[in-house]
Amino acid sequence: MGFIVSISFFLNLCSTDLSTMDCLFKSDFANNKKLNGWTDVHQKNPPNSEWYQIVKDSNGELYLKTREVLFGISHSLKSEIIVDDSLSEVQLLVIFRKPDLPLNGWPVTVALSSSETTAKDAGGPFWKGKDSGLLIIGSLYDKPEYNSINWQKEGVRVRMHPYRLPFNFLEVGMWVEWRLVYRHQEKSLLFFHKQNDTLPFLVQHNVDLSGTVLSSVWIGAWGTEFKEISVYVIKNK
Amino acid sequence: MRRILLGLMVMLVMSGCMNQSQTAIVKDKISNAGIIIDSTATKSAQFASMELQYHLEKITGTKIPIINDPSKVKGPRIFVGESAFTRERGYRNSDFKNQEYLVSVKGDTVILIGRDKEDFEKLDYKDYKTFPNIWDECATCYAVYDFLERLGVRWYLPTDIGITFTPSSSLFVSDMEIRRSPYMKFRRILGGEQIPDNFAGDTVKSVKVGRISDRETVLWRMRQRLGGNYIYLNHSFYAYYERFWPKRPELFASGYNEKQPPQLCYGNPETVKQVTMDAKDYFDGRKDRVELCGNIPYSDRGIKTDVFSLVPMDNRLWCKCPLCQSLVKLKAERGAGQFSNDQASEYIFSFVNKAARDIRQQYPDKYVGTVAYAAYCYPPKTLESNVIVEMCLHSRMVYAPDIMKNDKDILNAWKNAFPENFKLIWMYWCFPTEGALRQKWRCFPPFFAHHVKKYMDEFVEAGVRGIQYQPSFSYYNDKSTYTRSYLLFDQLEGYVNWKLADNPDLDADMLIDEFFSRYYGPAAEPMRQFYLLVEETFCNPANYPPGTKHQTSEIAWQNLGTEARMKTLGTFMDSAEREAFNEPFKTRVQIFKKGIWEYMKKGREGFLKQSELMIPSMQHTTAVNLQNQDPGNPLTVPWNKAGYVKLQYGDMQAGKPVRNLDFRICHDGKYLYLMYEEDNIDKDSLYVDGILWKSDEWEAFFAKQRGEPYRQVGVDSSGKYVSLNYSGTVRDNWDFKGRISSRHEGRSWKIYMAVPLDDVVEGGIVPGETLYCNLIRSGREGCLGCWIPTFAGYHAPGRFGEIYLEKKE
Repeated sequence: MGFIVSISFFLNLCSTDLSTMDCLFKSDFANNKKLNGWTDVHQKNPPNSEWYQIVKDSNGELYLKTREVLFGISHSLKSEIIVDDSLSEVQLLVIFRKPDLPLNGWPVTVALSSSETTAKDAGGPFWKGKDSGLLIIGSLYDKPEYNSINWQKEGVRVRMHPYRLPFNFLEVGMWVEWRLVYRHQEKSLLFFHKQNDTLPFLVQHNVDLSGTVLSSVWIGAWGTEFKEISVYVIKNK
Repeated sequence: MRRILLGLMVMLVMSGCMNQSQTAIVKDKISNAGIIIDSTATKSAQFASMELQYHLEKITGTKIPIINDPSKVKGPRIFVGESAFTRERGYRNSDFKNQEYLVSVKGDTVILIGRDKEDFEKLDYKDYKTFPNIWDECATCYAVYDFLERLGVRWYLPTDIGITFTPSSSLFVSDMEIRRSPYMKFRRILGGEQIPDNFAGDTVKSVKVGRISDRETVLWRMRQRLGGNYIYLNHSFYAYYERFWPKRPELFASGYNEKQPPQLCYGNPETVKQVTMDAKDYFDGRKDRVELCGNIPYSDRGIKTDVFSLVPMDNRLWCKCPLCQSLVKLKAERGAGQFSNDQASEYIFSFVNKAARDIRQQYPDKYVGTVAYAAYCYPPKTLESNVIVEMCLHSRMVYAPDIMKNDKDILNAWKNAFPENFKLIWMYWCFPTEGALRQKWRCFPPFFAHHVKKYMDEFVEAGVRGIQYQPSFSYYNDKSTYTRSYLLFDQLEGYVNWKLADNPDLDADMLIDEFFSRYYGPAAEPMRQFYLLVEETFCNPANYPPGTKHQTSEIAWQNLGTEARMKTLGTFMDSAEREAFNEPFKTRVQIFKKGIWEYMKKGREGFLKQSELMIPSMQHTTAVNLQNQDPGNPLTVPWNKAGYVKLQYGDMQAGKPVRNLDFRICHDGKYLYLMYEEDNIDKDSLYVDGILWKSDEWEAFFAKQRGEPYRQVGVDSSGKYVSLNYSGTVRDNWDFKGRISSRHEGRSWKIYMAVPLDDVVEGGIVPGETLYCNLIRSGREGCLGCWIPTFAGYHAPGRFGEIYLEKKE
């Protein structure tokens, strides 16, 4: 339900012609229980099944359960996103839950990256000092420094923390929907952190990914449970 | 081929197989020659004779005596300075023009003489305090140095390690007669008087480096033939604050709310009258320049000059009275968008012209001197004939075509407008080291020796007859940027510069080629390759981001000192070390390795390490747009609705925060509002010093772009503040038009600030735009917290964070 609502919402949000919108990735865990196509820090595809498993919740819904490890996994997009004048928007959507674990202070992280696979140097979306892309880091803590949206180009990152209360991007045990929208012409990054939000919680300006190529979506483990991850691109006519 | 010929020439002079027309000063380590000086020789001649003796002994191993009586010399006689013998042949000190000298060799008689100051005090070669001053006439020294160069001696660095020559048991000289004087009549390196004993130092505070002795420093200046006709043109009215403020406010700029106005009122006839009176007091010997002008280097005190300096304070905050404002252009026309332009040229030079006219009436043989600098760099419509102008140019910034073009336009404009006026050049060789020192990083070496000839030709064509440069600087202490030089960055370019200043017709390529072969011997080729790669990299505009003005650490190690180039340079260095198997070449290669190559490696390694830390540290936030019931009053802002930013770093290196620091930020379309807050702080623990920057204080930096120009305001716990502008070499007062309040609420210290959006940066800023900014909490120990860690000093505009000014919905 969350997914349908959110898609319909951000279709409304976009004034661009719908016919130009492409889905470049949809996790579809129900039909990919072995996580084929996902690569872990050891470049293993599918990733280590002890760390990443598809499980069923009490309502019968399937989701990805991750272990409390520092690393993450990535999946290449159906086609690369070339950030040039033909691009209007890139949208990253993720529905997830942070279970009530002793380690629940660990953040939830999601990214779009120019790296084709999980960076081998630290298991993150970007090789240290390299790569371009978008990144959300959110936590339960109501402190700005533990929550941020980020963009980076060729290793140089600019982050934005929430500047208004409440600062936390999520609540424990609840399914949360995050949407990150990069508007290339406006050079802005819009972050919606609650389902049905009509106004972005954060807007980062001067975001310019021109000349970069986004190749993969990455999610951090750290005990987070993921229901859906999708990437859409809207091209100019 | 040129090098081979040169080598042959040197060998001809040194070897024993000479023809009959040549005279042996030393043969097979035996000499019956003598250096003859008059018993009442000038100080210059005494010094020159000792320098000659010293170098001839270095070459041949034979000490040639210095004596007064020529009849006691059985072999070749080398006359230094005026004596009875030279007088008999028509060579008198007084017959030589200023700085003119003669090198004459006829058979076994050598005469080395020039115009010397008539100072006959006895000289002690071990005591530099007895040496001639470079600003005194000492052309006999020039004659000796010229003669030694013809024997193959070169001075590439201070101390013996920098002297090159070909050791020989025999030394012959051929007949010659050269009478000449240096082309540039004024030759100076301004600042960096202390030379590190490794000739380098660092641009970052690191291991303590000693310095070479004062004697070696003075010898180095003499051997470079610095000096000549003394002129000192620099900001000359700072003493006016002590002399006339606040007794005579009419002399000072109006329209500023500061304790001291930033400038004089140059349109006021009373100001002209006062500076004219100062000049007359100086020329009449009633007062000295230190008292009248201040800002005179210690080493210059007591030196007399015929040029009285009239140079405004180092800022662009001109008087706001109608008369002054009518002479300042709203926008620069020539040099628009450049540091050096014409915005205030008519204004400043109309003042200088008025004073020059008054001074000429009484002192027709004296001059007024000023600089063509920053907003008054282009010439005015008229200029009095007794005005000397020193143009301030960026000759080293060859990688910035727009700056080079503007500098050339300035030079041509002065040449065409006032061909007859005596002209000097001031060059900023101090960049990039000055920026690196200020911001505590290591720069890519700014080698550019092959470009020296080009600018020197342009100077000569423009009629310039004097040059000086501010050298590359190295770290001395946190307060003194201009004290210590980084000589290795200027070694070859400095050598070529002073050789061409002496004789602009010399072949610069030949000078450069022979430097490598003479100085590095067997390691010449890899050292040349190293230098050429660094020089080409530094000078080529294609290696820089478009629009670059000054080198930054990112440019240094991302664009210039790339991994690939460093690898290639490493192979050259390895090769040079292998090939420099014997002394002194081995030591010279090691000096370069430590001072240049290891500095570069540290620079790049440090940058890469910092880059990893830097990656997550750049930030963006929003200044919320809200209404303030009393616009401009920071105390009436609804702060609970403002943007909140926690300071996450405890120092400039991204260390963990120790203090509880944050700021809030918003705007109302007209004012930017900031509130800094520190919790858990005792009011009594906050230190207040007379110098604000030493106090417990908050500093904010604002720019319209991530780079210069930028503004800074520091506020201490008493509410006292200092506000400044920074642009290139200019640091001047920012006439802060906002409001500031420091308050203590329980154990919380808060500073409230309102700054007009149209004044927070030059040209103002509007909602929807981004303000570049950093906020730093500082104390006696240094940085106690910051928004953006710079991994350098406070002044790092390339590391300013982004504050987006929210638009009204």
